Amino acid sequence: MLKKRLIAVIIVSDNKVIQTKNFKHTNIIHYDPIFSVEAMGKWSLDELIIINASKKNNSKQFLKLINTISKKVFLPLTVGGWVNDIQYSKNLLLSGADKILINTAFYKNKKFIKDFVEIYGSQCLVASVDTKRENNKDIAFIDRCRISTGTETIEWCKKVSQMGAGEIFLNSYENDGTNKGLYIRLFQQISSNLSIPTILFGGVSSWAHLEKGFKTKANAVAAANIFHYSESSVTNAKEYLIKKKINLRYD
Amino acid sequence: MLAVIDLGGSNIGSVNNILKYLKVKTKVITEIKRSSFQDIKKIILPGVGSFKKAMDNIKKNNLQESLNDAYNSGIPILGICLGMQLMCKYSFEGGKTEGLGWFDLNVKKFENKKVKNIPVIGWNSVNQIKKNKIFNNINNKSNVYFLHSYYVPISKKYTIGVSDVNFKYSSVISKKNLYGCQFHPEKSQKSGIQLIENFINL
Repeated sequence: MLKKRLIAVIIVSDNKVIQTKNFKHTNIIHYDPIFSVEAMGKWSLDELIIINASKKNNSKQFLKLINTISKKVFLPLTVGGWVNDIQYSKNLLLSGADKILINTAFYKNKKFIKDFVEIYGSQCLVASVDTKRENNKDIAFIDRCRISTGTETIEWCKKVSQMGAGEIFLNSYENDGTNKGLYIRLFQQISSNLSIPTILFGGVSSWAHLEKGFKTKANAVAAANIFHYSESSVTNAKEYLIKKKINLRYD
Repeated sequence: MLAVIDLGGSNIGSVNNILKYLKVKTKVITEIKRSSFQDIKKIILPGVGSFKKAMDNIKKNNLQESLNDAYNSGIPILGICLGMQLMCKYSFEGGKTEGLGWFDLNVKKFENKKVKNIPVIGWNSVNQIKKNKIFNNINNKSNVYFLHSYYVPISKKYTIGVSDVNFKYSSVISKKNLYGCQFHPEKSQKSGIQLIENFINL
């Protein structure tokens, strides 16, 4: 049977690993992203997502980072942040990325999404969907939760799936970087209603939070901050989850 | 010299990284001159992207004849993911498209009735149903990384590895000097590195 996936997310700003809370930078965790991947137990990881959350577009610097990381780890690598054209997507793939994570362009640059799917296929495209509460509803936001799409998150997920996304990476403004755990109620509903795989992210601060995420219909659960604060953290998380009978790769 | 064929949409970056890690002399090519086989001892046909686009590129770069020559002359060829599918007769991705035709098999799309989430993304085990050198030092039912919406059905003749997503299909096929794996060994941590090493040591 296909296993569920435990994913580490590395958020970088000017190639330093940062921590975020409600989508705002709080502090630098590591000055060396490569060191942080090695420290968390790279052989236990099922996948790595690297997000460029730099305030200014620094694509050359980010490409160099992806190039270096992809030489050190032989696992699926999804990268995103500031992706808005085919040329940059191509450069990221040539640097060793396997999947490209795209958020804002699904709203602002539909032509690019169409071209992307035609050239690289849906399996290469992960839609990043950020949800935020607005007028007592769950609404999809873009531009790091600064601009509302005006569309309910579940409807937005269906839309990006129709546009060709092969997978959806979900984060919640209210949960991001907090110790509340994942936004289970909404994420459960979304993962039950979609035919493409979903990755749940935002708010994981204990192994039990991961377990809750894995007990939904989602295919994968991701975390960032929690993996940076202890040695071999991913290996330890997997041991905990295996004991809880979550179907993960463990060999 | 090992040749990696660049089919345009591929993630050749990842394949090259692992070959560098294994210290294998590699050449990335979009074109093989029919006369230059003496330098090439192995070929990897990687693949991400669409079947039709990849076949168009093969034809545009006059690769088909030289790849056929390579196959007929017994050079070991490893097809990865789409690369494995290209070795088959037809795919139904983007309409019925003719492949290289080395395996008398057709590539089909997963159906939601059987498989809940498509694309199939993630780690799954490979049941080694036949002995083969490509499996040396890899435990049976080891997990490897898959990313695909199309699959090659099981064939009594050619299937050597089977995977199950509520529905069983070929994850490794082989015939003479040909090897195809549906998963991405270059992204499959230790088991994947071992498989590529086995191919190099053939």
